[in-house]
Amino acid sequence: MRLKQRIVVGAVSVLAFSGLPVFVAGAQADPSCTVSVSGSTSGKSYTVNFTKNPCGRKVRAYVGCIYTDTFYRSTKYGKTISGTGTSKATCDSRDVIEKRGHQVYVPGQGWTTYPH
Amino acid sequence: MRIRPLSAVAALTIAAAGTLLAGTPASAASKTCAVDQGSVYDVCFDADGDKFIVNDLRKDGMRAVVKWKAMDGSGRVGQCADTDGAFNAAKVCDYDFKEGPQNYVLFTGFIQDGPRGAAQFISYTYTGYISAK
Repeated sequence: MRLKQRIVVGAVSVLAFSGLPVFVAGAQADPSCTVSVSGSTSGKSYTVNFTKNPCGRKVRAYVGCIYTDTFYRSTKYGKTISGTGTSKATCDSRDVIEKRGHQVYVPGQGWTTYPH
Repeated sequence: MRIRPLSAVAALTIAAAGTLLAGTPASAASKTCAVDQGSVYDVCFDADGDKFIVNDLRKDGMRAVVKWKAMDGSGRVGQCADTDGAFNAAKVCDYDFKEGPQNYVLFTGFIQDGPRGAAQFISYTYTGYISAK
């Protein structure tokens, strides 16, 4: 069921956002709280647009960064928001983005990570 | 556990260009250790548990680091750093590399000031086999 929902919402969002990567995060405890997002990369930053957040959960973007000279890794987070809107996470200027995605805070479970 | 000091040095780029030589690592059973910067840090790879062990041996305010690349088909890279000062417990980083008779890790030790400082006292690049040979 979740998969079907993901495809449907994703297809709609693809049209709306003209090719940008689109994802849907299912909030595991309550399907009615599913968060819908789209994301885009620009330079060292990754911006997540939270288009649906029916339960008003805390959400944020994240990037996994790597300093390629020494393979030092770090994780950066965008601002936390509780509704719809954007969150932008940025790597250090010397790093490159290795991973990206968003996180949803589910009460009782903590932050759940959704790689894009 | 047989030790081979380096055949694929090019895969790691940390060492100063043109200065790499084949190190003669110390080893005991499953462990391969860098020996050429032994007064500055200890860096070892232990195939028993796929662990890197880093011990800072100089009170200079810098961190001791091992940078590694897994030659197991995964393309994984990483580092393990001893950042809590010298002459205390070594930092141990556990990994799970893919077993295989030809699989190995390349690793190089160094020290640096902060996570992005320039690497200094760069060791040779060593080869540690992931599986006992």
